[in-house]
Amino acid sequence: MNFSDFSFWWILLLYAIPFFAIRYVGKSLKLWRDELDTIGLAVMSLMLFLNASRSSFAIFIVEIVFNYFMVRLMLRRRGNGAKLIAAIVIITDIAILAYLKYLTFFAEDVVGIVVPGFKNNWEQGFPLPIFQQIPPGVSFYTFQMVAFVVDSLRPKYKKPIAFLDYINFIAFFPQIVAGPIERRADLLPQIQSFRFKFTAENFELGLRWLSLGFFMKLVLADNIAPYINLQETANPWIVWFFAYLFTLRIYFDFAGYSFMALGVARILGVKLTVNFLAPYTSVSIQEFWRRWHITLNNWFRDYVFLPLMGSKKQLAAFFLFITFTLSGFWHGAAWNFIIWGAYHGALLLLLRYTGRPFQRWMGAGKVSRFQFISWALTFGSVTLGCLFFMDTNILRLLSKLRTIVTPWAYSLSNLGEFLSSYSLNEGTVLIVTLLLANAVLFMEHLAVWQKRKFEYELLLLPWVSRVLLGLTILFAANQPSEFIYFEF
Amino acid sequence: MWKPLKLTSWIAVAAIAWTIGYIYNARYGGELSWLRMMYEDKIALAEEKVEAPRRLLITGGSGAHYTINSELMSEKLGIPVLNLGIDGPVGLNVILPSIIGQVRPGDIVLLIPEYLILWSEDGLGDRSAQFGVAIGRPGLGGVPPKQLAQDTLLLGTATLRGVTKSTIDVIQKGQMTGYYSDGVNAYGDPAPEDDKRRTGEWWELPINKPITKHALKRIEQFRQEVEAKGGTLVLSLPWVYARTDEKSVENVEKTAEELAKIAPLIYDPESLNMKTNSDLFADTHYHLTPKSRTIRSRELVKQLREIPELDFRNEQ
Repeated sequence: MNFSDFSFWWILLLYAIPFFAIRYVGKSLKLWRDELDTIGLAVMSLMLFLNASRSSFAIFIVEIVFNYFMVRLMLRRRGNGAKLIAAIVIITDIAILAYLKYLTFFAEDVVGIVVPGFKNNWEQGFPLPIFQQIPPGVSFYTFQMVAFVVDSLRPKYKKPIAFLDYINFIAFFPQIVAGPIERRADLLPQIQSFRFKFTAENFELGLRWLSLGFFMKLVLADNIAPYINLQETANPWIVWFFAYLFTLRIYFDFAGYSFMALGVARILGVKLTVNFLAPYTSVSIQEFWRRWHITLNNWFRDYVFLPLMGSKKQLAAFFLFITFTLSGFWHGAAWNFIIWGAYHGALLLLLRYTGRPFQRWMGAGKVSRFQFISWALTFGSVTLGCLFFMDTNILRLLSKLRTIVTPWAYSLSNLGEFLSSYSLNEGTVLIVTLLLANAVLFMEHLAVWQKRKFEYELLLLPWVSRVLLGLTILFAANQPSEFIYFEF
Repeated sequence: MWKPLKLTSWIAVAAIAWTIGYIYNARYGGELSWLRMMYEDKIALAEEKVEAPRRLLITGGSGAHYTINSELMSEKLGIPVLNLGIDGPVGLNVILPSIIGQVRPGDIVLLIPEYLILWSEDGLGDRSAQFGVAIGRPGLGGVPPKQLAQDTLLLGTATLRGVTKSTIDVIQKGQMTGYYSDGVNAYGDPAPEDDKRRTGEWWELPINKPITKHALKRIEQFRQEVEAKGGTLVLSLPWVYARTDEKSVENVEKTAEELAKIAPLIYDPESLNMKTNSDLFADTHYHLTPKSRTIRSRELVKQLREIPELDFRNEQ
């Protein structure tokens, strides 16, 4: 759901007021049954999803009915019969995802390159509707459905689940559109025993997460977004600076969204998985991937990397590279995402083979210097990766790469051009935004240095949360940009 | 801390922040606040000039505000003239009821709407809801409840950009400023020092469509409201720096034809008020330079005199 779109809150309000009024009366008259909470949640989720995207909702309904009945059938079988049904469901889910997300890319950027003329004519003869943009949420709920099928194959999950619980598990509105991608073991038990629990503690914790999420998205990401210009290719200072801005923006945008989801769910009494753990405090790429989009990476680890590798542990590096390339491709149907995934896969391999020698070379006794250099290298590598991630135009991307590896392009005149490219007002807003952004990152670093229990402990302190809420109300951008991950 | 009290603090923080933002946006500092002040100044002027038996009230968006010289018109017509033009994005649905209260028996109301206003399918613009709230009339113009709720909520958001600009203004100029902060003179026209000029490239505005059914209906309703108060409505096509291709001309002709069915419509039939000389214009396709405002005002006076039912022949 788009939490920064007023429509979401409006529909929620219009639904919640009569629903909870009826619930209150029902409870007072002792006519309200607990199962009605489950129905209420399902209707709420489906209404909000319908409001977010009609096309996505229609596809979702077909998929959820198909998945539920197939899993039900699967749970009645054992052995190969169950595996065959699981395979049919997974292949169907992935095929639908591929059709919605990758068809145009495959036709135009793969076949179109090999077959002359195909790129411009393929749409005319194609019998099905063609989606130029993926309907929101499909990438996320497909993965959650697939994970559910695989997890349900385990012997301990033989008990059938109710249709409403399945709807609430997949369609739970805080997380359906952009995650976190939840696992059966984490979310389903909460859904099965779901009751609206509006306790003061849930409100307090939920509002703290919401406050942090809103601040990250509406103040930081949305105030940074207008400064990023993908067209600039000739000035390396500007190319790097925009990559840096994008690095900040994508984190605040997606982590902000995830924290809002966490907050809304918590108010309802449901605990979702924390999807980010201060990724820019990482001192290695491995650590970065343990902290960034955690539920997606766990998904790829458990349902792609480990099954691919199987017992061939000597080929782990190769499969790791393949997994990261696939993960890149999941992000978007374009070559730049594949390159981005492969780049991170390559970085992980580089670290695997050179990390220890590098540490020895830096000197074992100089921990702080090593830590700082490792952090700087990691952050720099992630920023370079963002250069691939942010630009779907491959020719322009290549031009940028040429520019940043050209030593004489780093001239003083180019630096001057960069520094003088903003008006006083624009420059000041940007500086203030960057100060706020780096203050947030510093508080994450501080929590890590102080070895606190949780990376966001300082940002979730009661008084900090309230300050962030006040700052969000005052300083939010008045034209919120789209959530980046909605496109994936 | 007692748990409910903890939650109250969230509401308190939100309320304080929203109030600060509201004061900035609607009372002093933000763009809307200057628009509100300008509107209230104009309304105060209209109330001061009640005694005159006959007045010319000119209304519309900034395409009225920045296009006339009311003092000159007053001299030529011999009656008080007041510029009640505000801002296009406030929308026809809000502009018209926001001034109707000032119409007195005998008044002539001249409406000069920009095409942006005439193209609207619902009569509302980006500023409709917030302007209504700022002038103490929330929901004015039939703003839908969802839009009203959203825009009222946003009225508490000062924005980082807005606050930064105002802070720099205070440092550089000693006070906050905005597009409409120069104030108005005794005729409701922009203050004499107001001479905004475009810095970017000019391009001719295409008139891509004729007036919408909603705009026609709303102007017809306005005519009835004006007449019910004993006034007379006159309409004018705006001067616009426009493309004069066949489609644009056709759309303006169609607009003129429809508007003329509602009330006397004044414009130059040769040019349809579509100007091709950008030197006439200040900073937008509608706003005129002070010199052009004089030319435009002389033309308006001439055209008003030619309307028989206004009976200007006896005036000086």
